[in-house]
Amino acid sequence: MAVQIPTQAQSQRPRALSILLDYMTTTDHKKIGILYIVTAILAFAVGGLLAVALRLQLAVPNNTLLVGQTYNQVLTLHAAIMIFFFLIPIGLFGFGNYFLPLMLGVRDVALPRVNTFAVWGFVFSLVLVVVAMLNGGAPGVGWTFYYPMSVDANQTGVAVLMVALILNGISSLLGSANFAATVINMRAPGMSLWKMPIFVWSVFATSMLQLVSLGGLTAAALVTYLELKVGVSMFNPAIGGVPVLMQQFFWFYSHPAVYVMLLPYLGIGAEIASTMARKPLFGYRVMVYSLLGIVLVSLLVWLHHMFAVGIPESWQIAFMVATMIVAVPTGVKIFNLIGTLWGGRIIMKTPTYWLVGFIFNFLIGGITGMSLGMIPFDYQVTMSYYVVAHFHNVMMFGTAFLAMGGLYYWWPKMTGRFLNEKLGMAHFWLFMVGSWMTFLPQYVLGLLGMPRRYYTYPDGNFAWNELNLVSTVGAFFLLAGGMVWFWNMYQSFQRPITASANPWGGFTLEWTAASPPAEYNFAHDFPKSFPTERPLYDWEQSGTKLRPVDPSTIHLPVSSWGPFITAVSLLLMGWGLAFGWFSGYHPQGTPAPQLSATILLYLSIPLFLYGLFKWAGTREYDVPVEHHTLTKYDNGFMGMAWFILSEISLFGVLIAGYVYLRVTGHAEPPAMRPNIWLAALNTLILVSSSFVIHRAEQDQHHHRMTRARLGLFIVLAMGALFMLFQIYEFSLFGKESNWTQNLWQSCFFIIVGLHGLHILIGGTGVAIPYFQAMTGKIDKTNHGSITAASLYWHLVDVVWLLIIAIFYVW
Amino acid sequence: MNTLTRQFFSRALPSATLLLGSAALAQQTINVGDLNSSYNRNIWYMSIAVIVMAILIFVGVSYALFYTVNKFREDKRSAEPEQFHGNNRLETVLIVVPVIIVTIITILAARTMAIVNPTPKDALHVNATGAKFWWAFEYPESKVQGGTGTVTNGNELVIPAGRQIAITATAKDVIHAFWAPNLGGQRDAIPGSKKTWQIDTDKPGVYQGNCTVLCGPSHANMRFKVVALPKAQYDTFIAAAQAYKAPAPVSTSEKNGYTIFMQGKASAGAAACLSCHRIQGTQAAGAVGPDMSFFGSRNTLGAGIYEGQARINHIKPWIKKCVDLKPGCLMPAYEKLSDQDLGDLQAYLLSLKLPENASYWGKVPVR
Repeated sequence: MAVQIPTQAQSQRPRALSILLDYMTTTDHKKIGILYIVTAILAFAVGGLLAVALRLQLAVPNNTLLVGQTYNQVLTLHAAIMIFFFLIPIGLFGFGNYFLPLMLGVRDVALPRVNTFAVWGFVFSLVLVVVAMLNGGAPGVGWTFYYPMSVDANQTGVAVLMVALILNGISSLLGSANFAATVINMRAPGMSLWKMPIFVWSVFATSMLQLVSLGGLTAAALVTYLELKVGVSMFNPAIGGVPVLMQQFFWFYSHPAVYVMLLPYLGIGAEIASTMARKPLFGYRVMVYSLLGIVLVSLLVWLHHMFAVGIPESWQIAFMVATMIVAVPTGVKIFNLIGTLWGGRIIMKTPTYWLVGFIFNFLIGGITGMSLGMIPFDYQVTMSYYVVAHFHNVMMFGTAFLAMGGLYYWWPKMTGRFLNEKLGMAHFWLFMVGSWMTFLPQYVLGLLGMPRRYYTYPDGNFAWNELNLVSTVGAFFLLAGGMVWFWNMYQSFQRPITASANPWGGFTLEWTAASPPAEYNFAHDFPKSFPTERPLYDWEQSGTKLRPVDPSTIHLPVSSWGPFITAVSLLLMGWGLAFGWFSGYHPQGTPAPQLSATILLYLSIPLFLYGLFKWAGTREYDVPVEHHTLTKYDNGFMGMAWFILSEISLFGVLIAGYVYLRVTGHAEPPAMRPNIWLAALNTLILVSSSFVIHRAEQDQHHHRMTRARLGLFIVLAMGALFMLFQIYEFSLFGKESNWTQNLWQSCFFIIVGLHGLHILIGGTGVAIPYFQAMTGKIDKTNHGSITAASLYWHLVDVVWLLIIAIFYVW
Repeated sequence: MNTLTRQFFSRALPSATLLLGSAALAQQTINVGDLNSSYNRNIWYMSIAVIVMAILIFVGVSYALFYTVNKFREDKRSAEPEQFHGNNRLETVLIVVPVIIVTIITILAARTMAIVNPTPKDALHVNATGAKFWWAFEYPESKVQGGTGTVTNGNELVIPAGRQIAITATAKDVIHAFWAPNLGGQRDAIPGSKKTWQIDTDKPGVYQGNCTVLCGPSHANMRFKVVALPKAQYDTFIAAAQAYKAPAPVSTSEKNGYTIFMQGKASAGAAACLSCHRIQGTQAAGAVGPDMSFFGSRNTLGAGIYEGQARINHIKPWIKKCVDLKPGCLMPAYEKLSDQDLGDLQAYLLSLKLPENASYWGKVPVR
């Protein structure tokens, strides 16, 4: 082997490459958190520049910088990027991944490789949206993609937005299930749920909310996508569908999404308040109950986005009541933040300023939000700039301020360096003044009748010109603030690592790790007594010491290419599904599938299976380690149990939509409909397969591996048989009548078809432990993924029983 | 008290906002606080108490916040803070008080809803149909005399002042929404569905309306005017509109324009205008594009994007290629029509006038 003499250039390049390779395969929750945060910050930059472009167009009346569809595309991307790629991920998944295990005093999340897959799925959904602009244009339908505009023949990029949202959603759900499983299964010994830091609680609550509600968005995106690709529809008024049903699906998620964009930040704010005021939280339990209360009530308020639709008054009032109720726990959070600061010794550093700025701004946003809850007033100003001002008030100069606060607060922990205080203050004040200048005039614009999403406005409307100009100038303050912020982060990396483990004097476990933390997080174990949610304070008072651990005895999950390859295959599949199709078929008025995309679609399937089985075929740890879980269930089962909530929600939303259409008489079955006898046979097959897989699971548990393998094989065979019968039935029914012309048939194909897809997914899930068993990866200490696969298979079975009831029997 | 608040709101809100900008002479003041509408008055009565509470909450909480931060900041306090975990009595108060407040607000809102939502029996019914990117306003109670159909107008809604107008909204293609802030709230116009609600004003005038649900490239160009006439003038208008028969073309120019409208011009590849547009009292009965019956009496073109003289100037370019003037406009381009033909079409269209006493423009001021 020749001796390599490293030159300056050579030693630089491989370093960047090796960092990239490391991030592709890593299972380290901290690196994954960083990946989320970096992606989110880049997305914020892109979304911010798009916003400046929008404001430039609106600076003067009759401007021609961005006209018509171009403006709509910029508007759509601004919103979609800011929501799905900045505000939702940075708090929940960025800070969540980085700090949830650290705060729980553990060394990783419950399912580290699922985490790797989730982060790359997230990154690739952004890649998909951005690269798609080069091929067939950007979506111009608003991030809300209201039907029927979303299927309008003149629209572009809707299919790719739908696919990207679904991919983003899958990643998001896996991430959320992972957090929930981590919280239940993996806290430091002795830390009960009621001693967890408030940020952990907020991430846990948000994860539950995601799992329960995200099905709505997936349903809306899926049905819209299917109409574009195969012509089935639940919304098309020409065949009796209801366009507003799409909005119901959409807001069932997208209202709770507002709280997904709020709760993690309230957690961050509470951590900052407690640390900076050198005091415990004011009313910790009440704050947790408020979090859970918000989760519950926020699921029941989505209709307030749709008051002007004209839904029956009694429903409107019911949802108004819920909307008003949700203000109470939100108010509690604000009062308790002030209560935490009261009587403290407040360290006035940048994180504190962001917190105080947040509370003040959020107060305005909360009050205007209440005004929007009053239905008669809402009829007036909904869809006007008043609403634009309100939601930027809660998001942009509300929760995003706490995203900044969290970044300034945890920056020393994540990088070992400090952000410059002076630059930080400049950033803060530019954002503060910029936000007020940009958005407060928009409240007035709304009252003066300016509708939202207008690319132009005429000269001569009272005060519109002046207010719009002020708003545009404000946007440049925000741009300047963003530039100061980027400079601040850049200059911080030019300095050496100087931060101590606990620079702010924080009270939670992450502050016992080095800054930045070592790969194994802690070179010590924690005492088993957690008197309050502030262990470091309590231990200092009682003189309890941490017990050092030799880092060489710590085993961490190994890196793996499997999750990354699987995520890449989903990127290719997403591209193929957006621009290609399995065949040349396409409904009238939609573009023909592109051949290259179709080829990618076919190629992505073997790549997906390769990645997945490579992943499943390698063990999580190099050496056999004993897993300590707080419950008797392993992490795979626990993660799946939480994930299944989202599947129930997806089917629940779709089935509720179908039942509504059926009960109101919109969806009547055609004369020729699928026969019960074949479905009955399929039921028999599926129900027995559930018993077989349960048996196989028991066999595996008792180490009867041959029988377990046989059982899994039988389940796979039964699943295949089920699929064969179903394909036969679908082809028959598809030929009998035109699915684009009958609402019931459309609903049948959408919901039963989605169940068929779940049989495929579940079948692949069952094939994994079979493969693990065949290659000797399952033994006494390694359980593989049989419990998770079995649980999922049972779900598919239960959903089928529901489908039998509503499509075959009814 | 009534007129006082009315005056206060119609003057105070605009002048308060005027302070933020220059004193440019405004031609149109769109304002949800226009208390000439009973709808807006009801909202105002509902809001007074709420605004007072909102101000109290805003001042109280921000005072508490800044007082706390200022009093307990590090440089003013050296003592280690007392480590207390909460205060049950205070927390109870901070839950109970908001519950009381939101209960009051909810009751106020529900009560106002009960006043403004039901359609009164004596309301005038108008159907508003949204399409990309214009509005059709149809008067279902006003049948055309000696013909079929009902009185219909495009993008200009004429109503009597002082009466509740029950609007039933629907849409032809995608979802739109009707909003004339000075007269009342918004409602979505949804394909396959009909929703009815009321608008009204006591004060005759020309008011501005807009589409508020993103509907495509020209969402911002989907405007309309609401012309509120005194009752007597409205009655004259609607009677004349019911009796209206399009005047026969007089000049050569108008006659040529009439021919192109009714038959198209094959040599220039132009289809007949009547396949999409209706003119009351002629064979033209198309329902795809806006109704042209009173085109000569109107003041706007392209769903309100051109007014007055600008409207006249843009008729020819509009027929030639409307997409250049309005993104996403669905009317086909007729680029091969000669300037002469376009001029003739313009002459014919402008001749389509209501009788002078029934014309609704110029009789009430722009508000």
